[in-house]
Formats: sequence, C-alpha cells, structure tokens
Amino acid sequence: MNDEIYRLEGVEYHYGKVPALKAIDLTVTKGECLSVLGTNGSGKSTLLKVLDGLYFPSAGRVSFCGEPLTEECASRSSFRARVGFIFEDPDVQLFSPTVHDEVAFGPLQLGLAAEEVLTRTGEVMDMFGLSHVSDRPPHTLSAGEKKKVAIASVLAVNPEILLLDEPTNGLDPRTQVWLIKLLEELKRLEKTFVIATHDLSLAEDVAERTVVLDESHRIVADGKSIEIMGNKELLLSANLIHEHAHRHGETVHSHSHGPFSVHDEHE
Amino acid sequence: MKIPAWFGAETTPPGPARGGGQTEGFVEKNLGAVTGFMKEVLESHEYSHRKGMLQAIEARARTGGIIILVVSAAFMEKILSLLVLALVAAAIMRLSQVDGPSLLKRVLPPALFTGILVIPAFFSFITPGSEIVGFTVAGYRIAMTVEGVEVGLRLLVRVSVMVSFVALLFLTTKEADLFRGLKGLSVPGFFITALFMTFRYILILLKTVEDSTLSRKSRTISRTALKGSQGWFAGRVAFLLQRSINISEEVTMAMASRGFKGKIKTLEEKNLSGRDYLWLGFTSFLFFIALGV
Repeated sequence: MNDEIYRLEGVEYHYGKVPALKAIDLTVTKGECLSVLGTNGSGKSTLLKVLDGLYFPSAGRVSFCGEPLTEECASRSSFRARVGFIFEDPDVQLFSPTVHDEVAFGPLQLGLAAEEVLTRTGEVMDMFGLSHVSDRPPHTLSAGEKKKVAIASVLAVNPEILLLDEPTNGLDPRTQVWLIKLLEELKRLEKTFVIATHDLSLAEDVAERTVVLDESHRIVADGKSIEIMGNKELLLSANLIHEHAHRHGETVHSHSHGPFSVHDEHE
Repeated sequence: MKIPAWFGAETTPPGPARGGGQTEGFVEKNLGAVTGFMKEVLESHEYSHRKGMLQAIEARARTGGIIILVVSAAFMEKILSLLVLALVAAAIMRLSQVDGPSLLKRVLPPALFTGILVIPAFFSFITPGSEIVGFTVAGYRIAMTVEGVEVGLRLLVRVSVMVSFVALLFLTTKEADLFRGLKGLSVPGFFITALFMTFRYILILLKTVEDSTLSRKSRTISRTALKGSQGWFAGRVAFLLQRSINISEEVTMAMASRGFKGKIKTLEEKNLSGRDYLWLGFTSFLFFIALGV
C-alpha cells in the first residue's frame, strides 16, 4: 500500500537477555497519529528507537516505505530528513553550545545552504517563542523551555514523521496544553505521529489510533483511541489505570482511577 | 496495600528538632565542596554578561589574544618581565569588571600546587649555585641557592601569570563563545564538539553527585563511620560511570537521529572588527617584546 510508512512483523528486541519487545506486528500509515500506551518498562521507548533506525530488532522485520529498515537505510540523509525523534529527556538531545546552534544543528547536518539554515532557525525559534534565549546554553533553561528547544530542533528539519517519547513528562499544565495545541496544528499539515506515552489524556486528545503494550512487552490491543479508552478491563490489565477506593459521606466504594477517572461508575 | 503497625507509632517527640549534631563526615563534606567549586569554576555566567574590555572583543580574537599572552609568558626569562605581564593581567581584570577574589580563587590552587612542586629546585642538589642558607646531613651538603630560588620563583610567577590569563578568558567568555573562539582558531570541529560535550555533561554529572550527596544527607540521622562513607562513595562512582555511559549512548543516538554522521557542520562566523584587530595587535606587540626580554 502506498500510504504505508512503517510495517513491523514479528519484531523482537532484547537488552542482553532482558526482553524489551516481543512479537510486535504493527503498521503506521501516512498522516495518522498513533499513540503507543504502556507502563514504565513496557518497551515504548525501545519501539520508537526501532522506528527511528537507532536500534535494529533481534528478530523480525521492519520496513520503511516498503523498504527494509537496515543500518544502511537509516544512515541515509533522506531517512533522517523524513523522520524526527523527540527524546524523553531533553538533556540528552540538547548538546549544542547555544539554543540557536541546537536548532540549526539538524538542517546543517542535512547539508542545507547556510542562508536557508539561518532562515529556518530564525522562523522556528520565533514560532516557539525562543528568540529571547537564542544565545543561552540549552542546559540553563527551564524544563519546559528545554522541551520546546528539543521539539524546535527536530522540527527545523521539517520531518514528515515525528516520533515523540513521553512528550508531556515533567511539563507543567500550561506547557502540556501548549504541546497538545502544537500537535493539533502539525496534524493539519498531514504529518505522521507516533507518540509513546502513559498519559492517557494525551493519547485520547491527539491520537485517533492507539496500541497498548503490556508488561509482557507485547501489543495487547490496537484500535481506535476512543474504543481503547473505553475498555476498562484492558486498561486495568495493562496497569494503565487502577482500582481506587474512597468515601462519599457514609458510602465507601471503589472505581477505576487514572489520569482520567470514570466517575460515572458511582452508584 | 498493608501498612505495618509501627508506621503509626511516634518515632521522635514532637516539637523543634533536637539531638544528633554533626552528621556530615569527611567524604560528604569534601564531595560537597568539590562539587560546588567545580560548578563555580565551570560556569561563567556572572562575568561574561558584564560590559568590560574582554567581553567586548569577538570570541575568536579574545581566545587568540589570550593564547598569544600565554605564549608570551612562556618566552619571558626575567622575573621582572613576568611581573610586568602580571600587571597587564591585573589591568585586563580591572577593565573587564572581574573581581580580584574571583580571579585569585582560580589562580591560587594551581599556583600553590606549582609552589610545592618547585620546592626541590630551590636546593643545590637540583640547582647548584651561590649558597643562601644550608645544612649538612651525613656529610652531604644541602643548601638553598640564589639560582635555585630564581628558577623556582620564575616558574611560580610564570604559571600564575599564565593561569591568570586563562582564568580571565574563562570568566569573561560564555561557554558557547569559548568553543566558537576555538573553532575560529581552526581547532578541528570534532575536538571542539568532544570538548564541549565533556564540559556540558560534566555539569549534568556534577548535578547527579550533588543530588546524591544531598539525598544521603537527608537520610543520615547520625554521623556515619568513615568506612561506611567510603563504601557509599565507591558505589556512587560506579553509578556515575554507568550513568555517563548511558548518557553518552543516548546523546550519540540523539545526534544520529538528526543526521550526524561523524562530521560536525557549523555556520560560518562573522568578520572581525577594528577593536578585535587592535586587541590582537596589542597582544602580538607584547609577544614580540617577550621574545627580546
């Protein structure tokens, strides 16, 4: 199929003897926004690194636009220009001396002309409201600003596929809202997203499709986000929500609890 | 979830904290002090933002000029000439709005270390010459000589002057400009990137050390034995090593993900101004004088 970006068949990945991914079958098509839900250690970040050609599976096959995703394919500039990866920890992604250098890093490595690099860098920094910190070392910024620089540095390359690892982690509510708005804007440009998260509200807000990885490192569900979010048993079994007991006046009862509470279960 | 019964028991009497006393041992104190000192030395935000002479000079010219001054100090033979160069350093310090104590804090440790190293050079068994004062041990004459003192003092002053210039560069230059300056001097990009990343991630590792020390302090109720602290310290060293390996792996992946293939590409620099050429001319002038004195 022409619209198919990724196809994973029976993908496994191990850190030494410790499994991180087992029997992963997955397709990602152009323009879709897919969230990968799972608890800590379920293999979400590893899956994104496989999709970005940073890790190569111990078993199984990964293809990118119909071509096997090998080391040779992943090292091509065209692949790096098409796929952008936003790491969970901005500190590992921000390695340049200034914010300006950081945003310019990707376009420069891809061999764009200096003038275009400067134009893109300036425009992306304006778009993210980062111009006032242009000359500052990224590590001196706040967590929210670091995340913005990390996203800006990837978007400066203008990738058509964005892989985001726990994008809302450590962000204050205002920056989380800003991020969701940004993702909504980018979705209108028909970019493809794969978002690894355990933030159910993020998955529900921005992704049309969700896959769930459970603690056995396998995909246990793949479907429309709205259906996945409504499947309490599934979310409980994947440890994404938990049962919570509390008191309403004289009544003690229990119901599922998570980033979104299902309070309509109250009797 | 079952909570043990003793969780509900009162462990300490309510009211203001009392009892205990000093809980920090030798290792914790020193680790805290070293971390604080390293952070202070490595971060140069305070002076690099002031409006001063060095700060006004372009990073490449500033770095180049300071290197010329350091080389000039290496060529100067007479202590008096070196002292004149020390006065130049003091003048630059003043004009660059740098406080004396801040500079001294950076110059004194290496000067002290050099001082200890040059002590043997004061004596006749290393530098023979005219005796100032001496004594005989088992028929062997040990004496401090005029030539020895000269050699020792010259080295001490030279090192102090050189360190002063380098410290002035670090204090007045934002880290980004420092690396840009090195790049302008045609230092290969790979070395600059490696140097920058070392510098950058040392700060992250220092933060880890600081947090580890504070977390231990927050859970230390009574003073721990030195042996216990040493064991904890060894454990932290192993943890830091593992963490630095993990960080380097992640950083490498982050770079590869954005198209890095082993060669850093950077934007071209702007041209130097008249003020930058004036500074380079001044430092070159001192260099040529140094060749003759």
